[in-house]
Amino acid sequence: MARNNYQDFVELNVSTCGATDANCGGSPCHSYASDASLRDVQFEHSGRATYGDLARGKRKRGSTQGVSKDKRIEYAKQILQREMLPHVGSQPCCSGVTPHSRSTIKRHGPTPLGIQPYCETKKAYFVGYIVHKLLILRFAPRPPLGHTCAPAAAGPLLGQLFRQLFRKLSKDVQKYGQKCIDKGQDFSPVAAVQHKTISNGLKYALATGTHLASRRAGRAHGSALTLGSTTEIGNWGQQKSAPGSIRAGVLNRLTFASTLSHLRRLNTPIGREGKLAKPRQLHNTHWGMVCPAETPEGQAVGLVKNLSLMAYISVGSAPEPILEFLEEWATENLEEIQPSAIPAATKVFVNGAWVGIHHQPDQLVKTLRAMRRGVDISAEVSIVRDIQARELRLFSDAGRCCRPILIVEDQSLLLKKEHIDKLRDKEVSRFNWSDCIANGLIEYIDTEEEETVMIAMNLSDLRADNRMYRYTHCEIHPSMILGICASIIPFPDHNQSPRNTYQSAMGKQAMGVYITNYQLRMDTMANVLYYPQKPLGITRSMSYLHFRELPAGINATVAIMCYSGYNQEDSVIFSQSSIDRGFFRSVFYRCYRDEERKVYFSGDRGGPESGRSEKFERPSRETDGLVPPGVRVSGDDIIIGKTAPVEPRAEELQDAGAARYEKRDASTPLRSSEAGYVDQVLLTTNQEGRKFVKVRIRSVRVPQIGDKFASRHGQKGTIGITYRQEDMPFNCEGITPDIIVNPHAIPSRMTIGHLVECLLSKVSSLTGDEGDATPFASVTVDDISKLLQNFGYQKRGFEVMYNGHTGRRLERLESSIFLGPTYYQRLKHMVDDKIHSRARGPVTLLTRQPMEGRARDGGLRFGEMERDCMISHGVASIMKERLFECSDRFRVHVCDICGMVAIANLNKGTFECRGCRNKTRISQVFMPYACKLLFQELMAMQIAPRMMV
Amino acid sequence: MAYWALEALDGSKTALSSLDRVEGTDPPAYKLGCVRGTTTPLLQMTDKIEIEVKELTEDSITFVLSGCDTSTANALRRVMIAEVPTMAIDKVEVLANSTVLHDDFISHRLGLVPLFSLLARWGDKELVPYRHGDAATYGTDSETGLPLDQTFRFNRDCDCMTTCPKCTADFTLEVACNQDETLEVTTRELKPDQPLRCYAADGRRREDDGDFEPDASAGGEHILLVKMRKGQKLHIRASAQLGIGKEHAKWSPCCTAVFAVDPTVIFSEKVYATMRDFVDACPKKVARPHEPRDYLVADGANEESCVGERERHFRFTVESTGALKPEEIVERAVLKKKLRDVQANLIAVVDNEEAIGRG
Amino acid sequence: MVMPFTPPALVSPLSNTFWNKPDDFDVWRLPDDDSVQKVTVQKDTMVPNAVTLVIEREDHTVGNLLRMELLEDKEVLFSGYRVPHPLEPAIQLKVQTKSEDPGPVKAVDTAIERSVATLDKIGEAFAKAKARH
Repeated sequence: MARNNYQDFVELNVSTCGATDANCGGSPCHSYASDASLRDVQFEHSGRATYGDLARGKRKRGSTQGVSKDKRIEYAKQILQREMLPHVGSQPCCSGVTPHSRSTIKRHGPTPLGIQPYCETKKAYFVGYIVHKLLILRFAPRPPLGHTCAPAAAGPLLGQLFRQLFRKLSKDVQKYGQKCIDKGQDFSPVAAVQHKTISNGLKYALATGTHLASRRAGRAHGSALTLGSTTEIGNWGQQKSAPGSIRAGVLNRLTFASTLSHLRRLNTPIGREGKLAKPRQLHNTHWGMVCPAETPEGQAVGLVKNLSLMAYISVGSAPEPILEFLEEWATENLEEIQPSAIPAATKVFVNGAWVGIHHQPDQLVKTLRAMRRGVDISAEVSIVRDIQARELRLFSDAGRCCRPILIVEDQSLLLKKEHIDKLRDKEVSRFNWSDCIANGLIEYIDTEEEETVMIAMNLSDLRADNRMYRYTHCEIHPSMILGICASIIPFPDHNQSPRNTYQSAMGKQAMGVYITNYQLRMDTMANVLYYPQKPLGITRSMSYLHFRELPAGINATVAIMCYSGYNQEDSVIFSQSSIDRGFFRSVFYRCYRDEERKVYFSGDRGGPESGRSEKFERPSRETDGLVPPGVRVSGDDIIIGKTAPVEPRAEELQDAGAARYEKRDASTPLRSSEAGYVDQVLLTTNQEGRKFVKVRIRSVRVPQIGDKFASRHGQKGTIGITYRQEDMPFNCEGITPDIIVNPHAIPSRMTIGHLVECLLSKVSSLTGDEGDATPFASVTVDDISKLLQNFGYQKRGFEVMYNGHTGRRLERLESSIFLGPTYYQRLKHMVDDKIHSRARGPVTLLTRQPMEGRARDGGLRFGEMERDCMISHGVASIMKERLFECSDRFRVHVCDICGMVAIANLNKGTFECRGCRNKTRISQVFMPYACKLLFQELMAMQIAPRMMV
Repeated sequence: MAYWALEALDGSKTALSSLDRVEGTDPPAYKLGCVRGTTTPLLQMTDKIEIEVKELTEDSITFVLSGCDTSTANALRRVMIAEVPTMAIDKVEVLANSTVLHDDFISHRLGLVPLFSLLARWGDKELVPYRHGDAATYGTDSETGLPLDQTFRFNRDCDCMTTCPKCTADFTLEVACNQDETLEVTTRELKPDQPLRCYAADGRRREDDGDFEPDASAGGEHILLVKMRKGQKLHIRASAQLGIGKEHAKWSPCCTAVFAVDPTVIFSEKVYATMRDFVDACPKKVARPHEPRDYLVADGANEESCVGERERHFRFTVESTGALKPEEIVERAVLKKKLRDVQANLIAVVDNEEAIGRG
Repeated sequence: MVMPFTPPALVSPLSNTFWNKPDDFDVWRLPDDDSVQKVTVQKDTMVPNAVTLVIEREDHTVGNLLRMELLEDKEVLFSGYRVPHPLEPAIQLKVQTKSEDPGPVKAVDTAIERSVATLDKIGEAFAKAKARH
């Protein structure tokens, strides 16, 4: 197409999403090319200037006023060059570092940065290609291939943020320079560069989670036509912020697995309220990339995902090596070909830009693959050949989901026994994972390339006589589809699927050793288990999660039985003797922090001299105002004594008699519902060089009635009662269970894995080994049973037990008790943190109704449903008591004439309504304080609420 | 011991449920709640009581108690676990602790250390005769001047204000690590103030003085308390007091006290011949023709096969923590004291009421 | 307006935990101030010759033992025990006899006597068995 035609295109008012605005906010540019994501193309007319408008100079961009028509056309051309389909022909794009820098061009005026010659031709071809695809889509649709998972990681998001800030900075410098020139001053680089622009901008964005330019972010995320979802890695913090923004939050440090899982979290920033089920559902293409089990329940179900164990997000590499290679291997450039040659040849795309055509795609692909397997080009590069559409798509950009798979040739693995042996003794052979990649034994395949390969699930599928399938790859292990939290579950393949989801959520609340240096850390809150154990039933993935080194649970002896009825409805019976001996004891640390600050008063003029410092001091404690380590502290004790200066009142305002205070107490008390010992006090200085202190309080948490525990199968329960050893049932070996769970917890939940784990752990406790509970392995219940029987036990794990109270045999002969070790977790929910009651207490300032929440010693809400209940009972007095007497009872005096509140002086016993000059006809009225407040607010709005008594 | 072969009996549940008709076993009285069992005269009952000690080692005893009711056997078991008094560290004063474990942690560990003391008993001497002779044989403790046969009292019963040697045995532990390697602090460092009256039961034998080494051959080993690295220090004063397992498991003298009921399996000869698989399914191989008749009774069963329990026959196993010798645990299971206590109060109450009634 | 208010202490002065259950020490010791009687006898008003004994600071050990011993007595019509709540260290023992003499209290008394005799026997037997071993 010629240039003129190109301009015609402009008049078509076709603007494409993402292409309209160069900054497509993290959406991968390859989406214009890929078949599925062509649907990303968005047609927008809503209230935004089109290119036609731009060409006519209707929209203000730069200084367009008073410029001649030629210049305006020139300007429009520039926009077309730089902003329309920016990834085509503008510069070697999408090398991972630069995908967004095309927006930089736009802002930087006339610098011809990265604009290639003949880019108009390429763009024209590409527009043609888009139209072609669009027509195909309309008239002969191919089934959609599915999701494209292109997460935006923290790095690129931060990079983007930095770029924006840098642009702002350079703009400021430019402005300053212009000013200097205008005024004829000297240009001072020191004054020009405001270093705070970038640091403050970053700080602000991280603190608030709002992106400086999030206004454009929304566009990048799928239109109505999109199936693909844009996701973000690391759901750092709040879930409510705008899409495309950077979220920074506190890394979950409850247990080590929860930390790992938090770092591999994916967030889909679309509305939680959306009724659409599709984006929440697990899709086939998620296999091996996203954990099928680990997702929160409720609102965010399916929107927050977690990466599978081996999933990898591409970092991105420069596309030049690929382009050079393509050139060498006879790829014909678009400028040099006849359009008629296109249908017969294969189109070659690099990072979504159509670079040319090729006539021997077979050869080309083969060579490319070989090069990738020899890491001559980056191992991350994905090579997708779409035979049907005659396309070859190559990607080297950042943010593609990849996963490693074993390479298969001639129905057998390239990874041989010798390699395994070499891997086994790594120290000697120095053969490691990257060697496996470099030697072409394993390769990373991204979601799109995955569609073009044939993957065997197991090694056993790779038989030479298997003529049905020609495999090109083989899974490393099917259990690698699971994420961090789901990899801790033993035998998840024996469980009903939601149970694995529940456990994935619960594993994050388990206590253990959350990190090895916890003694040195001053985390706000931390729970550490006294005697953590590695599980008897392990999965092979655990080795990579360090679950054995940093475990979060104990192998408890568990009996599944009914005993005295104190384990009904998901409660469990605990052995008090075991608890006495340290079973599930844990220690809870809480840190309190404070720092000295400068306080500025209205009289202060600013500057370093002004302002008064707060001080750590407290006369009754140590001179430094801090509690020394080892001291026992309980509710509301002052931990950090601090005083703050009080603004001196003007002399004339001061009462002669009133004491003059110079300081005000600004101490930190211990939480009113907690108690413990001072563990550690950290005294240091903050950035400004002022005193800064953190005090860590320790309290030991002994399991007690109401504390929450869970097995690894979504079977959670609270302690219903604790029985001493002699009250617990016993078997002939004298074994008493640590935990008794109710059998009713099993059938409806179908957590067979729980039972299998118990059986396996029983065998493991006898052999002294770890039992392999990896999912999708070949272990069967019968195998385990046989082993158990060899040890002289009933093969299904049943035992005869005797009642501890009477000594009689339980469940007389009809059945026996399923007894064995099961790995249990202590969850962070403990009654000590929940227990709360209140008779009277603090009220809120505004309404004088009781405060809310345990931390403020608040009241217990008598809500709507409770109210309904009382109404239906007809107990009006109870209602009045709860909602009025016990809440915000208030007394006013009302003028009987006008119905407004009168002035009452109760000390003197005088009442008066000034407006009515009435001092006698006054009534006393009781009403909620909130009601009084409403009346006053109405009065402020010129509405007179009259109480006619 | 126990019988496991129930699973193979899928089709023969009817045979099992008719256990009560098995010869030689009385219908269990408790099944009917208030219906009384046989009115065996008292003498006849107690005459049947027999005990046979099967095995006695340093830390465990196995004996068979026969001829008494389950309730008696179970009461014995319960008392052994929960109500035999021992000494255990109850109060800990931490003077210096720079180890990795915090104070509460070390205190808890110290509490669980079994302490051996012959003087940890219920005060009532007449109930358990003190077998080690009179005070003259043992003399007095050099440190406290207390006679060595004077038992410890409960702290609450003692007439002292806080603690005194009559109710408390003190220990000190002072260790500093000056070496490069990890130092293991064990009970070896836990120095008793009254070494003759109460000391850590880590398998060592009582000797004249100073350091005791555990008898490794008898499975003795110093108990690990905490590990230290260079520069760390630990200084602790701990006091042990008398207590019972009901209050805290650290005062329980036994790891486990348990009785098992031996099973009886009754087959007809015919069935046994045809049910090899069933018999072989039992992992303990209890049902073999060569075994004593307890297990296999060929005749006398109306049903084809029955599994039952030997009535009034209890195989006890008591394992000690080291705080007491296993046989002593059994001897000191003073159920009688409890019963007498109830009896005395019962009579007192009734007398009182009668007095009121008369008045 | 935040009114000054001190909540009642939820934390027990001795232990670190909240009062969710009685102190372990109270499980087996009567309080020193004699505020709790070891045994209380309640006559059953509906049934003749029946009493309910509430035995404080005892559990299944004594309860079950006495019940079974009472059931051996032919004068006893009914005997049963229960632990009303596992957190409260007391048992209830219900006894009914055929006649007024021996009444239920007397029956309990003799049951204790018989149990003690049995235990004595066991003690002797154990001493003998140990010597034999």
